[in-house]
Amino acid sequence: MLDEDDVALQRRVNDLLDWGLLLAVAGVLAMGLISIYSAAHGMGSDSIFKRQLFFAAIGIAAAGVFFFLPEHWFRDLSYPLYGIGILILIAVLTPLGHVVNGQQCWIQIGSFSFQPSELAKLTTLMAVARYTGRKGFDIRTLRDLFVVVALFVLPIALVMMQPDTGSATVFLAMLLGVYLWTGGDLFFLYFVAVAPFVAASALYGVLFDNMIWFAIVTALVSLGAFLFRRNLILTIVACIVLVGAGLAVKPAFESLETYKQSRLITLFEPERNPRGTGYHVIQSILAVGSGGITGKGFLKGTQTQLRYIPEQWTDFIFCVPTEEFGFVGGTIVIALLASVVFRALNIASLARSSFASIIAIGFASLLTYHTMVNIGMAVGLFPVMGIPLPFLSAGGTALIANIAVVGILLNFYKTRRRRASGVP
Amino acid sequence: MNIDVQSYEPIRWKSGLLTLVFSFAFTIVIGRLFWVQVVEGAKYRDLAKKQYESRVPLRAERGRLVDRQMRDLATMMKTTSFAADPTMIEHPEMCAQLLSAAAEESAQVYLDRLRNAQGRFVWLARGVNTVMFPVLDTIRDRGLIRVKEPKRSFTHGPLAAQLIGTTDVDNNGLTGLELHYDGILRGQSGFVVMQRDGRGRLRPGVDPEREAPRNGQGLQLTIDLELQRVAEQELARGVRDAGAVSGTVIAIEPATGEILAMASFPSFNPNRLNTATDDAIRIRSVTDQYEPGSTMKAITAAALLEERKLAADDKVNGLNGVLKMAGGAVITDDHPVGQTTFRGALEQSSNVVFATLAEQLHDRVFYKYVRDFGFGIASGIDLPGEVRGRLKRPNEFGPSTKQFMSFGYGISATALQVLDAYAAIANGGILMQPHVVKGILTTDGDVDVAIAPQQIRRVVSVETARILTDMLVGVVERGTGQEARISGVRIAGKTGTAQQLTLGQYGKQNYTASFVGFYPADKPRVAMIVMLDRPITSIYGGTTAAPIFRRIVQKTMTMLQLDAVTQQRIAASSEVDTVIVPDVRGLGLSTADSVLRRLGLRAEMTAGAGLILRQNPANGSRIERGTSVNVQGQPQQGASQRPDVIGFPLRRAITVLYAAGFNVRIVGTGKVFKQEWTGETCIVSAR
Repeated sequence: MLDEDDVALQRRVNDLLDWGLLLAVAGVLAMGLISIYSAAHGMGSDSIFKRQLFFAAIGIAAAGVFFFLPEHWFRDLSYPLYGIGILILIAVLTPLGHVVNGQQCWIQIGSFSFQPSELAKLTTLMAVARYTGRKGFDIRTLRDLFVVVALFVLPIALVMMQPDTGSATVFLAMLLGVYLWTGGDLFFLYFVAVAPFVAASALYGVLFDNMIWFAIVTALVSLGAFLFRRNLILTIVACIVLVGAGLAVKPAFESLETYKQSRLITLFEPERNPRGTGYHVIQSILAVGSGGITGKGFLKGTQTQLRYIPEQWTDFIFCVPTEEFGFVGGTIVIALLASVVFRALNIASLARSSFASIIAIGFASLLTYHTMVNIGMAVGLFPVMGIPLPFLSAGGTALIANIAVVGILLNFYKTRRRRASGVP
Repeated sequence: MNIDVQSYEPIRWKSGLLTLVFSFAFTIVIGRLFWVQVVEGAKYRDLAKKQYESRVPLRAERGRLVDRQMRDLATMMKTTSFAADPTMIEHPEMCAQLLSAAAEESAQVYLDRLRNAQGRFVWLARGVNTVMFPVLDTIRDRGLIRVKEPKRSFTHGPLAAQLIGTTDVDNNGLTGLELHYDGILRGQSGFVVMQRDGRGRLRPGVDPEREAPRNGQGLQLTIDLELQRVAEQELARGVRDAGAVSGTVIAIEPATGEILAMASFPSFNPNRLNTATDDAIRIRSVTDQYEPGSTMKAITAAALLEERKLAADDKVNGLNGVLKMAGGAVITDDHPVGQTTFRGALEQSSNVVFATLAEQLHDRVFYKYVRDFGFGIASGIDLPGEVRGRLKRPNEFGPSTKQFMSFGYGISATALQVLDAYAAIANGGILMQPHVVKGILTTDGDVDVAIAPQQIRRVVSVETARILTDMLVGVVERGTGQEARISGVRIAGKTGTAQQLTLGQYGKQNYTASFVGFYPADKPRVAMIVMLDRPITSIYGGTTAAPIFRRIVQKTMTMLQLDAVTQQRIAASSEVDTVIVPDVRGLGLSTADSVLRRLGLRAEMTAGAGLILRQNPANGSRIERGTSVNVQGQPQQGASQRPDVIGFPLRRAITVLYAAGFNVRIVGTGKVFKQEWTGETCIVSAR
């Protein structure tokens, strides 16, 4: 009967499509477009919004294509793509690259410009995913660890040369995710994960001549290390290394460029330089904070509409939904992004191949890191790092790449391993 | 599946661990968001508001002041300030030229301002009176910004300047009535909330919060514009003639206590406040005290009459003008008398007689009368800065205090206090509350609250007042006050010539000369005091102050509503009142007419229409009040006719030429001395 056929077809479509991921991405894209519309509203030209809309359309088209391609195409293309990614990262350092705010990170082609580092994040992930899918891959062997790390270090080094430290840290975040997922050593991972906290407390100590927090953090971290109940000597050595690294923060800080130093100082004390490096942070927190619970209404955000934050549609886009739709709007954005992350995590668990699984887990790590750092930056939790908010910030390269990856993930979901029960 | 692909074993705990780690990250972010937006939201909202909100005040219009007949004294002029958005302005040259004609700065200044402006806003000219220059209202330019700014306008310039008082740039009352009635006049200013953007520029917000200003209420003064004008004129003339330092005239309506005029010299021009000195701004009538001298004798006489110590025609002895006092001091008279009547002693102002007669009054009784007439107490007039004078209490009296006080020494009073006492005599013995505000007006100009006359107390009986009035008429008709005499009207009055204390001693250099009186004596309508400080040509009140009194009365006789015959006789005896004709060329007929009307003239259009091109008599000539000035407008087929603007002030010339449809090029500033034509453009040279 017809009806039954329809139901069957429906069931089949439901089975093939990850509606959760699709809806979450659609939602977050919508929030992004609304935010950019508002941020660029009344500028005399809404070209920023239109461009974003255009990029979204390209991304969706790419995702549509990737959804149907067989998985091995991606796998087969991953090494060549990695090579291309490295090449354009090199190209951007040549006179082909554009210097913006002291960073050489754009390549202009015709009227469009793109950011190689955004592309390289994904090509690197694909290459690593392919390598981990090799037969007999074991991250615990020195050789495999070395190759994985090397695959990451090459683009990191190139990105650092732009210099774009922020983007470089994104590669590290992905590396950590991949390392954990492929069976990396948790004890080691633990130390890498806590390192930023130790560094932050050490930095605070250096800047304000107050090492109490550093002492507390290292004490807690050391305590946590002993809970792993690993080799005692190894644990002690690791802790000493950690403390030593913390103490090395002072000379490291002093060797940084002045603008980076002031960004770091601004993190702890934005008021110290309200017109300079602290300006963005202060204005951003003002915008977010003044949004309150339900916000000021669409196009009624005073900080946004009065352009207190220059170029708000890029890295500080999160101020828009939070100011105009308040805590509710901000939470919705975070929840949608979290949904995308958790759907990706789910796909990583269900993926038929290690290649697919690693891409999913790497993407989840990337999204989480981007989200946390970008929003943390907007609410004064992290230093200003120039990391865009996925799906929301204006910027063609990242948007197209992210949507395209969602297409790939949907593809992987389609071909996932079904559980025994009730699936044809 | 491909064989080379390692089959993948998901490990649940890893998935769980990552879920935990990711959740932790998102939770931290949401937690921080909660802290910033919900917990500290109010704080940031205030901070943000402080940053972007800018309250732009909307000024309330100050209430206007009108005289007792509702004629404008001080109004609000609707001035316009001009600013420009340099990026939007379309005809900078034209705007600059028109502004330069209206605001007296060269066109180049405005062009420079436009050229050097940064951003999108620059002030060009503030407070331009566009009423006098209507062409400015016709400029259509998207880049020109007009801001309405009401400004105090003194219709009659320095007229009643001290009384009206002054305001500061923010329209707060500083002196005079502007200060005393500030609460009523100022109204309540409103505001509109503008938004300041990230670059510090102001822009109107979405649905801006706005509170409309509430305009101030006006005041109807008791002042009579005409009397005030004449009083000021004659006072200034009298002060100059007598070589005095300063002078005061106050006129009051005895029956109501309404001040009709209050003039002080020197005065100032409220439109040029920066040149005014404190000396010129204060209201001497209430702020300055002096020893009244002989004008005090009427008060002593009133006490003697009321206490029935003697009658007007009782015999008294003037001792030929010399009296030795108990303390060794000697009192002398300027007009020595021997045996005379009480009436005669007042007429000749005999100090000796009054010092002798004062002995008949008990200290307390004398004090009571002086006090009841209002001495030693502030009159309570509605003006700021009033002093109460100095009146000794009976227990402070020395052996000869009373005698000296009987002819006006050892006591100080303001001119207003002296006048009040005479007004009480004129009012049948009842002292009225003096006041200068007759009513409070609604913002529409109707009387909202009328201030009723207020009786303070009966000082002496009607009979005493009548006898005393009769005696004071004698002073003017036969005595020291003859200079104030006008045939046809019975004036009661008293002269005063008081030595001033210089370095603690009464000297022969500094005098206060005064004349105080009221008229018509049988039914007094006006009581008036004229006081001169340190006259030189003559020290006597009778020769310096009394003529001023007389001239004021003569010139304001029409106010008294006397019968026609008397009026004519008075008019014939007085000098003709003339005014100087102003320049009304370049003005519209109605504007010209209102300018002329202020001077008591009329405009009569004899030919043409529109703006006035010619006038007869010419400006600067002197003509009688009440006559009319013939003016000629533009010919009816105006466009083809090229107006002749030679001799015009530059701004008027431009108005006329623009109105006639021509372009104007300007060379120089000042008055037009040459004009040349090139097509439709008139090149005007001025110097």
